[in-house]
Amino acid sequence: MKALIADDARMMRTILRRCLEAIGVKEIVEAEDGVAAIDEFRADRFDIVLTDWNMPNKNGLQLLAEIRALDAHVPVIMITTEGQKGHVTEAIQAGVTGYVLKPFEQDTLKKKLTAYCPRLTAL
Amino acid sequence: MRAEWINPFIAATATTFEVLLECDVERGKPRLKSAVQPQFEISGLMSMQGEASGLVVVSLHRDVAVEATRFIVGHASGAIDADVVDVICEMTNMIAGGANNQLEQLSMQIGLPSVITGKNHVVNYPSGVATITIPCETKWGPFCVDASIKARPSRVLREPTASV
Repeated sequence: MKALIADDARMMRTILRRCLEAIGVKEIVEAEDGVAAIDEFRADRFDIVLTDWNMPNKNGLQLLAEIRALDAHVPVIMITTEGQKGHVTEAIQAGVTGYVLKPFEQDTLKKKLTAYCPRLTAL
Repeated sequence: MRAEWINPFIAATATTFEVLLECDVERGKPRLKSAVQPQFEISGLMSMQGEASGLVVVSLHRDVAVEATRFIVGHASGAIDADVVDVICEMTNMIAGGANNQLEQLSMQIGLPSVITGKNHVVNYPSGVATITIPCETKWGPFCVDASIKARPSRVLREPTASV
């Protein structure tokens, strides 16, 4: 299993990495904005993508759209403070697999990740 | 200043502490703030625009900021360093995001949050409006939420003039 984390906040990348490692994901690549994330996605194959919404250069919604143009099936989980109904709808329309609002309990996130990406439960 | 403008920030701050940091918050009584500076060494700033405009500052005692960082990152130097700023910046983002989700119904939006550090750092609270401070206590020490918010001046409506 290989995961891509896209978030401009180092703290969030640390938390997300910890959650992924706790459910058995060994290979984790971090990107600090949407441009770096799509470059990583183009260069490699990932089993799951966790992305923030608000990032410099390219936001999470744009990243999601570009990923969907390349891969219709990879689970993409939006992890964000943007809880307005309009934002959630936009993300769903763009093909998001799951939506998690910050702040979250780490155990809750782990459960959601395994629900959104059943392959994780097999690790 | 209306409670419905401030309460979303207080609720989002408590949620962020309790959910992200597993740290309960004991809220004190709101009072008028007399000093012009934030009370503690590190402050997260959130400005807002819309039906009301102003500034909300979450000012944290160094110990709170350091222990929050230790909880998240797993280690902390004890100083207000880049890790601490990173953690408080993201916490402020979460508080702003949580508040924004409620304030949107009141036609108010929060701008990009920022963080200021240092002893006696200065914040430009809006003029012409009182600042309310809500003292809070945690197992790691104190912090406070300062709010200085005023309603948008109502538009002056003029009678249409008759054309000749």
